[in-house]
Amino acid sequence: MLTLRRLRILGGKPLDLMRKRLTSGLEVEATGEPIRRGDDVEALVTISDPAKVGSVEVGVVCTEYYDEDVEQTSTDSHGVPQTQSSRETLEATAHEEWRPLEPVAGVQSARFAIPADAPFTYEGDCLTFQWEVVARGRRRDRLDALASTPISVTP
Amino acid sequence: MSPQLRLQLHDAHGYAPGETIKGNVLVEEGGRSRSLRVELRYTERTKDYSSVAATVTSGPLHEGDLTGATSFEFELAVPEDALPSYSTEHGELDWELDAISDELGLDTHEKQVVEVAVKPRT
Repeated sequence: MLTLRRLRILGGKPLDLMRKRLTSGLEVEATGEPIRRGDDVEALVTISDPAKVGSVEVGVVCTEYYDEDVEQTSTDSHGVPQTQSSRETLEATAHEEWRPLEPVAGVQSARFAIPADAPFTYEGDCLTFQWEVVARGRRRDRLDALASTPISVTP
Repeated sequence: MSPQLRLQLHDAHGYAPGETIKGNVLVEEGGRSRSLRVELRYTERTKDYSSVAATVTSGPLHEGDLTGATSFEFELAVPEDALPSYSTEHGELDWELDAISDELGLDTHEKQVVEVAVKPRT
């Protein structure tokens, strides 16, 4: 079932979603799935137009999504503070490693070790660990270019 | 009056997927009960929420009121595809044994976390 929480996790940060939609000339894929903790993953990055993507780096990232009650305080029309609590899905980076790439057209690869004590891919009701291989291009005065692909990391 | 329970495992080491957890539920103080069972649950937890992702149950070990100083043996198989425990600053995943006395009103629980190791490479 596609819950609001699942949509939130699939979509990621709104700004990242916009970066991905506006990115062209940068693609990333991973080989060797599923990857067990302690093994390597190889990222293949295709840069088709170096001028469009800026300074590129590739990384492997694990994001933890966790649900907590978040309190928000506002003031009512009589000036009395009102506190409301709502369930929110928060996120934290559980693991990340990045490598710079050459700013040239073509396919480049980078190999990353998944630490044996890192989280494994898990999707629950209030706790999720999601792994992805990400390529990002730093650009001056523009939104960064961003491409990613999910990977499955088993225990 | 609710019974007072204690979980006692035959082997207190960590368990591998597929292995059987054997133990006893000791009734330290007797009390009203409809039935007694043990569950093994894979649970995810954050500061404010929890959810059970998988459950293995013993079925009823006893039906009716519990008498003090009695003991009930149980065996529960850890699933072959069991995920290991994991914890971070924001959340945790773990396997938990829960001896449950089903009662009119609030049930009595006696819980114990058990360590489940990563399945060895084949």
